[in-house]
Amino acid sequence: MLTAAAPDAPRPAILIVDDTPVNVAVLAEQLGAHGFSVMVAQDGEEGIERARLTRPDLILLDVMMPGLSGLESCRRLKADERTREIPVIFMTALSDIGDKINGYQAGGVDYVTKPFHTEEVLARINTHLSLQTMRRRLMAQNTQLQQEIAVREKAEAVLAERSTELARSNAELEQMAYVASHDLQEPLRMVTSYLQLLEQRYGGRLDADAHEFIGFAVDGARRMQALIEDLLTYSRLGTKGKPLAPTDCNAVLATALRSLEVAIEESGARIECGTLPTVLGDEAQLAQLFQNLLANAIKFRAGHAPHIAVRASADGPVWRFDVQDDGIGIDKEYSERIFEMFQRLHSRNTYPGTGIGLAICKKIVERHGGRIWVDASARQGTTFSFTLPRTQEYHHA
Amino acid sequence: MHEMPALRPIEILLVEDNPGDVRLTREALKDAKMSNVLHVVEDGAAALDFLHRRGAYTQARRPDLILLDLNLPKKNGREVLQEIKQDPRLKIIPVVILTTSQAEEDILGAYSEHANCYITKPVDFAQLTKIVRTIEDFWLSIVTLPPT
Repeated sequence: MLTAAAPDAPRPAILIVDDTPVNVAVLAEQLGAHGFSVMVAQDGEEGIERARLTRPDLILLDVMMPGLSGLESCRRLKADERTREIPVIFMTALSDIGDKINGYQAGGVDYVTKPFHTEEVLARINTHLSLQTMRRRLMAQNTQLQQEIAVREKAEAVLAERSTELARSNAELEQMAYVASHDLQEPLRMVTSYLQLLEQRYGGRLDADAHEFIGFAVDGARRMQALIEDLLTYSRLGTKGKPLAPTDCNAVLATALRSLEVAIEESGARIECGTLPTVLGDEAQLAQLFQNLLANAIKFRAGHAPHIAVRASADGPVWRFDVQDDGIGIDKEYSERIFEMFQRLHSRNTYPGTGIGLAICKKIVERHGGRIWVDASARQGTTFSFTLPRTQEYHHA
Repeated sequence: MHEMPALRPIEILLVEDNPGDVRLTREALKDAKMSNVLHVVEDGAAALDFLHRRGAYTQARRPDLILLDLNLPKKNGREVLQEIKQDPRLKIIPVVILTTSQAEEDILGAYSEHANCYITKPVDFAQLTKIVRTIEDFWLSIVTLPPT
Protein backbone atom coordinates (compact mmCIF):
# COMPACT_ATOMS: atom_id res chain seq x y z
CA MET A 1 0.00 0.00 0.00
CA LEU A 2 1.41 3.36 -0.92
CA THR A 3 1.60 5.88 1.81
CA ALA A 4 2.65 9.45 1.71
CA ALA A 5 5.59 9.73 4.04
CA ALA A 6 7.14 8.67 7.31
CA PRO A 7 4.79 9.00 10.27
CA ASP A 8 6.57 11.97 11.86
CA ALA A 9 7.06 13.93 8.62
CA PRO A 10 4.66 16.75 7.83
CA ARG A 11 1.84 15.50 5.66
CA PRO A 12 2.20 16.46 2.00
CA ALA A 13 -0.49 18.89 0.97
CA ILE A 14 -2.47 18.32 -2.18
CA LEU A 15 -4.75 20.91 -3.75
CA ILE A 16 -7.59 19.55 -5.89
CA VAL A 17 -9.12 22.01 -8.34
CA ASP A 18 -12.38 20.72 -9.75
CA ASP A 19 -15.77 22.31 -10.31
CA THR A 20 -17.70 19.08 -9.58
CA PRO A 21 -17.51 18.36 -5.85
CA VAL A 22 -18.96 14.88 -6.26
CA ASN A 23 -16.02 13.80 -8.45
CA VAL A 24 -13.64 15.07 -5.93
CA ALA A 25 -15.15 13.82 -2.70
CA VAL A 26 -14.17 10.22 -3.07
CA LEU A 27 -10.71 11.07 -4.24
CA ALA A 28 -10.20 13.52 -1.42
CA GLU A 29 -11.25 10.94 1.12
CA GLN A 30 -8.91 8.35 -0.40
CA LEU A 31 -5.98 10.72 -0.36
CA GLY A 32 -6.71 11.71 3.20
CA ALA A 33 -6.76 8.09 4.24
CA HIS A 34 -3.31 7.62 2.70
CA GLY A 35 -1.73 10.35 4.73
CA PHE A 36 -2.16 13.38 2.53
CA SER A 37 -3.63 16.65 3.65
CA VAL A 38 -6.19 17.71 1.06
CA MET A 39 -7.59 21.09 0.02
CA VAL A 40 -10.29 21.70 -2.53
CA ALA A 41 -10.94 24.64 -4.85
CA GLN A 42 -14.00 24.83 -7.05
CA ASP A 43 -12.70 26.85 -9.97
CA GLY A 44 -9.52 27.98 -11.66
CA GLU A 45 -9.26 31.35 -9.97
CA GLU A 46 -9.89 29.99 -6.50
CA GLY A 47 -7.38 27.27 -7.23
CA ILE A 48 -4.71 29.79 -8.22
CA GLU A 49 -5.42 31.91 -5.15
CA ARG A 50 -5.23 28.93 -2.83
CA ALA A 51 -2.02 27.75 -4.42
CA ARG A 52 -0.39 31.14 -3.94
CA LEU A 53 -1.40 31.31 -0.32
CA THR A 54 -0.86 27.76 0.88
CA ARG A 55 1.86 26.48 -1.51
CA PRO A 56 0.70 22.89 -1.74
CA ASP A 57 3.19 20.16 -2.65
CA LEU A 58 1.09 19.08 -5.64
CA ILE A 59 -2.00 20.22 -7.58
CA LEU A 60 -4.62 17.97 -9.16
CA LEU A 61 -6.25 20.15 -11.82
CA ASP A 62 -9.43 19.43 -13.72
CA VAL A 63 -9.10 20.15 -17.43
CA MET A 64 -12.78 20.96 -18.12
CA MET A 65 -13.89 23.86 -16.01
CA PRO A 66 -16.19 26.80 -16.68
CA GLY A 67 -14.61 30.25 -16.48
CA LEU A 68 -10.83 29.85 -16.31
CA SER A 69 -10.02 26.56 -18.06
CA GLY A 70 -7.69 24.01 -16.59
CA LEU A 71 -5.06 24.73 -19.23
CA GLU A 72 -5.18 28.47 -18.64
CA SER A 73 -5.09 27.97 -14.87
CA CYS A 74 -2.00 25.86 -15.32
CA ARG A 75 -0.33 28.47 -17.47
CA ARG A 76 -0.97 31.14 -14.85
CA LEU A 77 0.34 28.92 -12.08
CA LYS A 78 3.53 28.38 -14.07
CA ALA A 79 3.85 32.05 -14.87
CA ASP A 80 3.85 33.00 -11.19
CA GLU A 81 7.16 32.56 -9.38
CA ARG A 82 5.39 31.60 -6.20
CA THR A 83 3.58 28.63 -7.73
CA ARG A 84 5.85 27.74 -10.66
CA GLU A 85 7.59 24.81 -8.99
CA ILE A 86 4.42 23.02 -7.82
CA PRO A 87 3.83 19.93 -9.99
CA VAL A 88 0.44 19.96 -11.72
CA ILE A 89 -1.35 16.71 -12.60
CA PHE A 90 -4.31 17.15 -14.96
CA MET A 91 -7.52 15.28 -14.30
CA THR A 92 -9.45 14.46 -17.40
CA ALA A 93 -12.32 12.34 -18.70
CA LEU A 94 -11.38 9.77 -21.32
CA SER A 95 -12.95 11.96 -23.99
CA ASP A 96 -10.47 14.77 -23.34
CA ILE A 97 -7.39 12.71 -24.10
CA GLY A 98 -6.59 14.67 -27.28
CA ASP A 99 -5.62 17.57 -25.07
CA LYS A 100 -2.63 15.76 -23.60
CA ILE A 101 -0.08 17.64 -25.63
CA ASN A 102 -1.68 20.97 -24.82
CA GLY A 103 -1.59 20.01 -21.19
CA TYR A 104 2.14 19.25 -21.20
CA GLN A 105 2.81 22.43 -23.13
CA ALA A 106 0.88 24.38 -20.53
CA GLY A 107 3.23 22.98 -17.90
CA GLY A 108 1.46 19.95 -16.57
CA VAL A 109 3.61 16.97 -15.63
CA ASP A 110 1.10 14.17 -15.84
CA TYR A 111 -2.45 13.02 -16.48
CA VAL A 112 -4.94 10.90 -14.59
CA THR A 113 -8.23 9.86 -16.12
CA LYS A 114 -11.65 9.74 -14.56
CA PRO A 115 -12.98 7.49 -13.19
CA PHE A 116 -9.89 7.33 -10.94
CA HIS A 117 -8.07 4.21 -10.04
CA THR A 118 -6.95 5.15 -6.58
CA GLU A 119 -3.75 3.16 -6.71
CA GLU A 120 -2.83 4.67 -10.05
CA VAL A 121 -3.47 8.19 -8.82
CA LEU A 122 -1.46 7.59 -5.68
CA ALA A 123 1.37 6.11 -7.67
CA ARG A 124 1.59 9.12 -9.94
CA ILE A 125 1.28 11.53 -7.04
CA ASN A 126 4.09 9.82 -5.16
CA THR A 127 6.29 9.74 -8.23
CA HIS A 128 5.96 13.44 -8.74
CA LEU A 129 6.32 14.26 -5.09
CA SER A 130 9.56 12.26 -5.02
CA LEU A 131 10.74 14.07 -8.10
CA GLN A 132 9.91 17.34 -6.44
CA THR A 133 11.75 16.39 -3.26
CA MET A 134 14.80 15.39 -5.28
CA ARG A 135 14.66 18.60 -7.25
CA ARG A 136 14.53 20.64 -4.06
CA ARG A 137 17.42 18.68 -2.60
CA LEU A 138 19.47 19.25 -5.74
CA MET A 139 18.81 22.96 -5.65
CA ALA A 140 19.75 23.12 -1.99
CA GLN A 141 22.97 21.24 -2.72
CA ASN A 142 23.66 23.54 -5.59
CA THR A 143 23.25 26.60 -3.41
CA GLN A 144 25.51 25.08 -0.80
CA LEU A 145 28.14 24.26 -3.42
CA GLN A 146 27.99 27.80 -4.77
CA GLN A 147 28.56 29.08 -1.26
CA GLU A 148 31.49 26.73 -0.77
CA ILE A 149 32.98 27.88 -4.04
CA ALA A 150 32.61 31.48 -2.98
CA VAL A 151 34.30 30.74 0.35
CA ARG A 152 37.08 28.84 -1.37
CA GLU A 153 37.61 31.57 -3.96
CA LYS A 154 37.89 34.10 -1.18
CA ALA A 155 40.41 31.87 0.61
CA GLU A 156 42.41 31.53 -2.60
CA ALA A 157 42.44 35.28 -3.04
CA VAL A 158 43.73 35.70 0.50
CA LEU A 159 46.36 33.04 -0.16
CA ALA A 160 47.47 34.69 -3.38
CA GLU A 161 47.72 38.02 -1.61
CA ARG A 162 49.73 36.50 1.25
CA SER A 163 51.96 34.79 -1.26
CA THR A 164 52.69 38.07 -3.02
CA GLU A 165 53.23 39.71 0.33
CA LEU A 166 55.64 36.95 1.33
CA ALA A 167 57.58 37.23 -1.90
CA ARG A 168 57.84 40.99 -1.44
CA SER A 169 58.90 40.58 2.17
CA ASN A 170 61.52 38.03 1.17
CA ALA A 171 62.95 40.30 -1.47
CA GLU A 172 63.02 43.11 1.06
CA LEU A 173 64.84 40.96 3.61
CA GLU A 174 67.41 39.91 1.06
CA GLN A 175 67.90 43.52 0.12
CA MET A 176 68.33 44.45 3.75
CA ALA A 177 70.83 41.68 4.36
CA TYR A 178 72.77 42.82 1.33
CA VAL A 179 72.78 46.47 2.31
CA ALA A 180 73.65 45.70 5.93
CA SER A 181 76.49 43.42 4.94
CA HIS A 182 77.81 45.85 2.39
CA ASP A 183 77.70 48.80 4.78
CA LEU A 184 79.29 46.79 7.56
CA GLN A 185 82.36 46.11 5.50
CA GLU A 186 83.66 49.65 5.46
CA PRO A 187 84.01 50.20 9.21
CA LEU A 188 85.50 46.75 9.46
CA ARG A 189 88.02 47.64 6.82
CA MET A 190 88.98 50.65 8.88
CA VAL A 191 89.49 48.53 11.99
CA THR A 192 91.59 45.90 10.27
CA SER A 193 93.64 48.33 8.22
CA TYR A 194 94.51 50.71 11.03
CA LEU A 195 95.42 47.91 13.42
CA GLN A 196 97.82 46.67 10.79
CA LEU A 197 99.16 50.18 10.24
CA LEU A 198 99.64 50.42 13.99
CA GLU A 199 101.63 47.19 13.98
CA GLN A 200 103.69 48.36 11.07
CA ARG A 201 104.53 51.85 12.31
CA TYR A 202 104.75 51.21 16.04
CA GLY A 203 105.55 47.52 16.14
CA GLY A 204 109.08 48.17 17.27
CA ARG A 205 107.90 50.09 20.32
CA LEU A 206 105.31 47.54 21.43
CA ASP A 207 105.91 44.67 23.85
CA ALA A 208 104.83 41.05 23.31
CA ASP A 209 101.49 41.56 25.07
CA ALA A 210 100.61 44.50 22.84
CA HIS A 211 101.38 42.41 19.75
CA GLU A 212 99.18 39.64 21.04
CA PHE A 213 96.33 42.05 21.75
CA ILE A 214 96.56 43.54 18.31
CA GLY A 215 96.68 40.01 16.91
CA PHE A 216 93.41 39.04 18.56
CA ALA A 217 91.79 42.27 17.42
CA VAL A 218 92.86 41.80 13.82
CA ASP A 219 91.77 38.17 13.92
CA GLY A 220 88.36 39.14 15.23
CA ALA A 221 87.92 41.73 12.53
CA ARG A 222 89.01 39.24 9.87
CA ARG A 223 86.50 36.66 10.99
CA MET A 224 83.78 39.24 11.03
CA GLN A 225 84.75 40.15 7.50
CA ALA A 226 84.44 36.52 6.39
CA LEU A 227 81.06 36.22 8.06
CA ILE A 228 79.80 39.36 6.36
CA GLU A 229 81.09 38.23 2.97
CA ASP A 230 79.35 34.89 3.38
CA LEU A 231 76.15 36.59 4.51
CA LEU A 232 76.33 38.80 1.45
CA THR A 233 76.78 35.79 -0.83
CA TYR A 234 73.90 34.01 0.85
CA SER A 235 71.59 36.98 0.65
CA ARG A 236 72.27 37.52 -3.02
CA LEU A 237 71.41 33.94 -4.01
CA GLY A 238 67.74 34.73 -4.54
CA THR A 239 67.73 38.27 -5.80
CA LYS A 240 70.86 38.10 -7.91
CA GLY A 241 70.16 34.64 -9.24
CA LYS A 242 69.97 34.42 -13.00
CA PRO A 243 66.90 32.89 -14.68
CA LEU A 244 67.31 29.14 -15.13
CA ALA A 245 68.64 27.99 -18.48
CA PRO A 246 69.89 24.65 -19.83
CA THR A 247 73.26 24.06 -18.17
CA ASP A 248 75.78 21.31 -18.79
CA CYS A 249 76.82 20.06 -15.37
CA ASN A 250 80.07 18.62 -16.73
CA ALA A 251 81.21 22.12 -17.66
CA VAL A 252 80.01 23.43 -14.31
CA LEU A 253 81.96 20.75 -12.46
CA ALA A 254 85.05 21.60 -14.50
CA THR A 255 84.73 25.24 -13.44
CA ALA A 256 84.44 24.22 -9.80
CA LEU A 257 87.50 21.98 -10.06
CA ARG A 258 89.53 24.78 -11.63
CA SER A 259 88.80 27.12 -8.74
CA LEU A 260 89.89 24.39 -6.30
CA GLU A 261 93.11 23.64 -8.16
CA VAL A 262 95.36 24.74 -5.31
CA ALA A 263 93.44 22.85 -2.64
CA ILE A 264 93.34 19.75 -4.82
CA GLU A 265 97.07 19.86 -5.40
CA GLU A 266 97.94 20.56 -1.78
CA SER A 267 95.80 17.72 -0.49
CA GLY A 268 96.68 15.29 -3.26
CA ALA A 269 92.97 14.75 -3.79
CA ARG A 270 91.82 12.23 -6.39
CA ILE A 271 88.46 13.17 -7.82
CA GLU A 272 86.46 10.76 -9.99
CA CYS A 273 83.70 12.26 -12.10
CA GLY A 274 80.90 10.37 -13.74
CA THR A 275 79.05 11.76 -16.73
CA LEU A 276 76.73 14.51 -15.58
CA PRO A 277 73.48 15.58 -17.23
CA THR A 278 72.26 18.89 -18.55
CA VAL A 279 69.74 20.58 -16.28
CA LEU A 280 67.83 23.82 -16.04
CA GLY A 281 69.98 25.99 -13.83
CA ASP A 282 71.96 29.09 -12.98
CA GLU A 283 75.49 28.25 -14.09
CA ALA A 284 77.30 30.36 -11.50
CA GLN A 285 75.20 29.06 -8.63
CA LEU A 286 75.59 25.43 -9.65
CA ALA A 287 79.33 25.96 -9.88
CA GLN A 288 79.24 27.38 -6.35
CA LEU A 289 77.25 24.34 -5.22
CA PHE A 290 79.78 21.84 -6.56
CA GLN A 291 82.64 23.97 -5.33
CA ASN A 292 81.34 24.10 -1.76
CA LEU A 293 80.67 20.35 -1.60
CA LEU A 294 84.06 19.47 -3.07
CA ALA A 295 85.86 22.00 -0.87
CA ASN A 296 84.30 20.36 2.17
CA ALA A 297 85.24 16.90 0.95
CA ILE A 298 88.83 18.06 0.57
CA LYS A 299 88.94 20.02 3.83
CA PHE A 300 87.53 17.32 6.07
CA ARG A 301 89.85 14.59 4.87
CA ALA A 302 90.93 11.78 7.16
CA GLY A 303 94.65 12.40 7.32
CA HIS A 304 95.37 10.97 3.88
CA ALA A 305 94.89 12.15 0.32
CA PRO A 306 91.13 12.24 -0.11
CA HIS A 307 89.35 10.12 -2.67
CA ILE A 308 86.21 11.83 -3.92
CA ALA A 309 83.57 10.61 -6.37
CA VAL A 310 80.98 12.74 -8.15
CA ARG A 311 78.15 10.83 -9.81
CA ALA A 312 74.73 11.44 -11.23
CA SER A 313 71.86 9.05 -11.93
CA ALA A 314 68.33 9.40 -13.21
CA ASP A 315 65.68 8.80 -10.56
CA GLY A 316 62.21 9.24 -12.02
CA PRO A 317 61.43 12.94 -12.40
CA VAL A 318 64.78 14.06 -10.98
CA TRP A 319 68.51 13.76 -11.45
CA ARG A 320 70.28 12.63 -8.32
CA PHE A 321 73.83 13.82 -7.72
CA ASP A 322 76.14 12.24 -5.16
CA VAL A 323 79.42 13.65 -3.85
CA GLN A 324 81.10 10.93 -1.88
CA ASP A 325 84.30 11.22 0.14
CA ASP A 326 86.39 9.02 2.44
CA GLY A 327 87.01 11.73 5.04
CA ILE A 328 86.32 12.16 8.72
CA GLY A 329 82.57 11.69 8.39
CA ILE A 330 79.70 13.37 10.22
CA ASP A 331 77.81 12.35 13.33
CA LYS A 332 74.33 11.28 12.25
CA GLU A 333 72.66 13.50 14.81
CA TYR A 334 73.98 16.59 13.05
CA SER A 335 72.74 15.63 9.59
CA GLU A 336 70.04 18.29 9.59
CA ARG A 337 71.84 21.00 11.56
CA ILE A 338 74.80 21.28 9.24
CA PHE A 339 72.61 22.87 6.58
CA GLU A 340 71.76 25.78 8.85
CA MET A 341 73.59 29.05 8.63
CA PHE A 342 76.89 29.37 10.40
CA GLN A 343 76.72 25.88 11.88
CA ARG A 344 80.14 24.47 12.57
CA LEU A 345 80.94 21.10 14.09
CA HIS A 346 84.58 21.75 14.85
CA SER A 347 86.60 24.42 16.60
CA ARG A 348 88.12 27.20 14.54
CA ASN A 349 91.59 25.93 15.24
CA THR A 350 91.05 22.51 13.70
CA TYR A 351 89.12 23.47 10.59
CA PRO A 352 88.68 26.98 9.20
CA GLY A 353 85.48 28.35 7.75
CA THR A 354 82.39 30.27 8.77
CA GLY A 355 79.96 27.38 8.49
CA ILE A 356 77.79 28.90 5.80
CA GLY A 357 78.95 26.71 2.90
CA LEU A 358 76.21 24.09 3.28
CA ALA A 359 73.51 26.69 3.96
CA ILE A 360 74.45 28.23 0.62
CA CYS A 361 74.32 24.78 -1.02
CA LYS A 362 70.86 24.20 0.41
CA LYS A 363 69.54 27.54 -0.76
CA ILE A 364 70.91 27.00 -4.25
CA VAL A 365 69.47 23.48 -4.52
CA GLU A 366 66.09 24.64 -3.28
CA ARG A 367 66.07 27.57 -5.66
CA HIS A 368 66.50 25.03 -8.44
CA GLY A 369 63.56 22.99 -7.16
CA GLY A 370 65.58 20.18 -5.59
CA ARG A 371 66.42 18.67 -2.25
CA ILE A 372 69.76 18.15 -0.50
CA TRP A 373 70.67 15.74 2.27
CA VAL A 374 73.61 13.90 3.73
CA ASP A 375 74.18 10.21 4.24
CA ALA A 376 76.49 9.92 7.22
CA SER A 377 75.91 6.24 7.80
CA ALA A 378 79.01 4.89 6.09
CA ARG A 379 81.75 3.70 8.40
CA GLN A 380 84.13 6.09 6.82
CA GLY A 381 83.43 9.23 4.88
CA THR A 382 80.29 11.05 3.89
CA THR A 383 78.02 11.25 0.88
CA PHE A 384 76.20 14.47 0.11
CA SER A 385 73.31 14.01 -2.28
CA PHE A 386 71.05 16.49 -4.02
CA THR A 387 68.35 16.30 -6.66
CA LEU A 388 67.57 18.58 -9.56
CA PRO A 389 64.45 18.31 -11.73
CA ARG A 390 64.83 16.52 -15.04
CA THR A 391 63.62 18.24 -18.18
CA GLN A 392 62.52 15.75 -20.81
CA GLU A 393 64.23 17.26 -23.82
CA TYR A 394 67.64 17.29 -22.23
CA HIS A 395 68.18 13.94 -20.67
CA HIS A 396 71.27 12.00 -21.71
CA ALA A 397 72.07 8.36 -21.05
CA MET B 1 114.49 56.00 -24.53
CA HIS B 2 112.01 58.12 -22.68
CA GLU B 3 112.72 60.47 -19.81
CA MET B 4 112.68 58.59 -16.49
CA PRO B 5 109.51 59.71 -14.74
CA ALA B 6 111.27 59.43 -11.37
CA LEU B 7 113.15 62.68 -11.95
CA ARG B 8 110.18 64.56 -10.78
CA PRO B 9 107.65 63.33 -8.23
CA ILE B 10 104.59 61.61 -9.63
CA GLU B 11 101.44 63.67 -9.25
CA ILE B 12 98.56 61.57 -8.03
CA LEU B 13 95.01 62.82 -7.60
CA LEU B 14 92.94 60.88 -5.09
CA VAL B 15 89.19 61.46 -5.24
CA GLU B 16 87.88 60.00 -1.99
CA ASP B 17 85.44 61.22 0.68
CA ASN B 18 86.25 58.75 3.45
CA PRO B 19 89.00 60.32 5.59
CA GLY B 20 89.95 56.89 6.89
CA ASP B 21 90.61 55.66 3.36
CA VAL B 22 92.42 58.88 2.46
CA ARG B 23 94.87 58.45 5.30
CA LEU B 24 95.40 54.76 4.53
CA THR B 25 96.21 55.57 0.90
CA ARG B 26 98.56 58.34 2.01
CA GLU B 27 100.36 55.95 4.39
CA ALA B 28 100.59 53.26 1.74
CA LEU B 29 102.05 55.75 -0.72
CA LYS B 30 104.61 56.89 1.85
CA ASP B 31 106.28 53.51 1.50
CA ALA B 32 106.23 53.73 -2.28
CA LYS B 33 109.45 53.41 -4.20
CA MET B 34 108.82 56.43 -6.35
CA SER B 35 108.49 59.85 -4.85
CA ASN B 36 105.01 61.10 -5.26
CA VAL B 37 102.80 64.02 -4.40
CA LEU B 38 99.31 63.12 -3.35
CA HIS B 39 96.47 65.58 -3.94
CA VAL B 40 93.17 64.81 -2.34
CA VAL B 41 89.68 66.07 -3.17
CA GLU B 42 86.57 64.93 -1.34
CA ASP B 43 83.89 65.08 -3.97
CA GLY B 44 83.25 64.82 -7.70
CA ALA B 45 82.71 68.54 -8.31
CA ALA B 46 86.01 69.43 -6.63
CA ALA B 47 87.72 66.72 -8.70
CA LEU B 48 86.59 68.34 -11.94
CA ASP B 49 87.50 71.81 -10.68
CA PHE B 50 90.98 70.46 -9.92
CA LEU B 51 91.37 68.86 -13.32
CA HIS B 52 90.11 71.94 -15.16
CA ARG B 53 92.23 74.19 -12.92
CA ARG B 54 89.35 76.43 -11.95
CA GLY B 55 87.77 77.70 -8.75
CA ALA B 56 90.03 76.99 -5.79
CA TYR B 57 92.40 74.98 -7.97
CA THR B 58 93.83 77.42 -10.50
CA GLN B 59 97.37 76.45 -9.43
CA ALA B 60 96.78 72.73 -9.66
CA ARG B 61 99.13 70.54 -11.66
CA ARG B 62 97.85 67.97 -14.16
CA PRO B 63 98.01 64.59 -12.37
CA ASP B 64 99.87 61.60 -13.84
CA LEU B 65 97.36 59.21 -12.32
CA ILE B 66 93.87 59.50 -10.89
CA LEU B 67 92.57 57.21 -8.14
CA LEU B 68 88.79 57.54 -8.21
CA ASP B 69 86.17 56.25 -5.77
CA LEU B 70 82.69 55.66 -7.17
CA ASN B 71 80.63 56.64 -4.12
CA LEU B 72 81.12 60.37 -3.82
CA PRO B 73 78.98 63.26 -2.64
CA LYS B 74 77.88 65.86 -5.22
CA LYS B 75 78.97 64.38 -8.54
CA ASN B 76 79.42 60.61 -8.23
CA GLY B 77 82.50 58.78 -9.49
CA ARG B 78 80.90 57.53 -12.63
CA GLU B 79 79.90 61.03 -13.72
CA VAL B 80 83.44 62.27 -13.04
CA LEU B 81 84.82 59.38 -15.08
CA GLN B 82 82.53 60.22 -17.98
CA GLU B 83 83.57 63.87 -17.98
CA ILE B 84 87.26 63.02 -17.82
CA LYS B 85 87.10 60.52 -20.65
CA GLN B 86 85.08 62.84 -22.84
CA ASP B 87 87.45 65.78 -22.43
CA PRO B 88 90.16 65.76 -25.13
CA ARG B 89 92.86 66.96 -22.77
CA LEU B 90 91.88 64.96 -19.70
CA LYS B 91 91.06 61.63 -21.25
CA ILE B 92 94.68 60.64 -21.64
CA ILE B 93 95.20 60.54 -17.85
CA PRO B 94 94.97 56.95 -16.55
CA VAL B 95 92.06 56.53 -14.18
CA VAL B 96 92.12 53.72 -11.63
CA ILE B 97 88.72 53.11 -10.06
CA LEU B 98 89.33 52.28 -6.40
CA THR B 99 86.03 51.49 -4.76
CA THR B 100 84.18 49.21 -2.32
CA SER B 101 81.59 47.91 -4.76
CA GLN B 102 81.97 44.45 -6.27
CA ALA B 103 78.70 44.74 -8.12
CA GLU B 104 78.86 43.63 -11.73
CA GLU B 105 76.90 46.68 -12.86
CA ASP B 106 79.50 48.99 -11.39
CA ILE B 107 82.44 47.12 -12.87
CA LEU B 108 80.84 46.94 -16.29
CA GLY B 109 79.75 50.54 -16.09
CA ALA B 110 83.24 51.74 -15.22
CA TYR B 111 84.90 49.88 -18.05
CA SER B 112 82.20 51.04 -20.45
CA GLU B 113 83.10 54.60 -19.56
CA HIS B 114 86.73 53.79 -20.37
CA ALA B 115 88.16 53.49 -16.88
CA ASN B 116 91.68 52.19 -17.27
CA CYS B 117 91.14 49.62 -14.57
CA TYR B 118 88.89 48.74 -11.66
CA ILE B 119 90.13 47.74 -8.22
CA THR B 120 87.92 46.74 -5.30
CA LYS B 121 89.22 48.29 -2.08
CA PRO B 122 91.15 45.60 -0.22
CA VAL B 123 90.10 44.35 3.17
CA ASP B 124 93.22 45.38 5.01
CA PHE B 125 96.28 47.58 4.94
CA ALA B 126 98.71 44.86 3.90
CA GLN B 127 96.71 44.32 0.74
CA LEU B 128 96.40 48.04 0.13
CA THR B 129 100.16 48.38 0.32
CA LYS B 130 100.49 45.56 -2.20
CA ILE B 131 98.05 47.26 -4.52
CA VAL B 132 99.80 50.59 -4.31
CA ARG B 133 103.06 48.81 -5.07
CA THR B 134 101.43 47.09 -8.04
CA ILE B 135 99.99 50.38 -9.30
CA GLU B 136 103.39 51.90 -8.97
CA ASP B 137 105.15 49.10 -10.76
CA PHE B 138 102.58 48.84 -13.48
CA TRP B 139 101.50 52.36 -14.19
CA LEU B 140 104.55 54.24 -13.21
CA SER B 141 107.45 51.96 -14.09
CA ILE B 142 106.41 49.57 -16.81
CA VAL B 143 103.78 51.55 -18.58
CA THR B 144 104.72 54.46 -20.75
CA LEU B 145 102.59 57.41 -19.77
CA PRO B 146 101.51 60.00 -22.26
CA PRO B 147 103.64 63.10 -22.33
CA THR B 148 102.25 65.89 -20.19
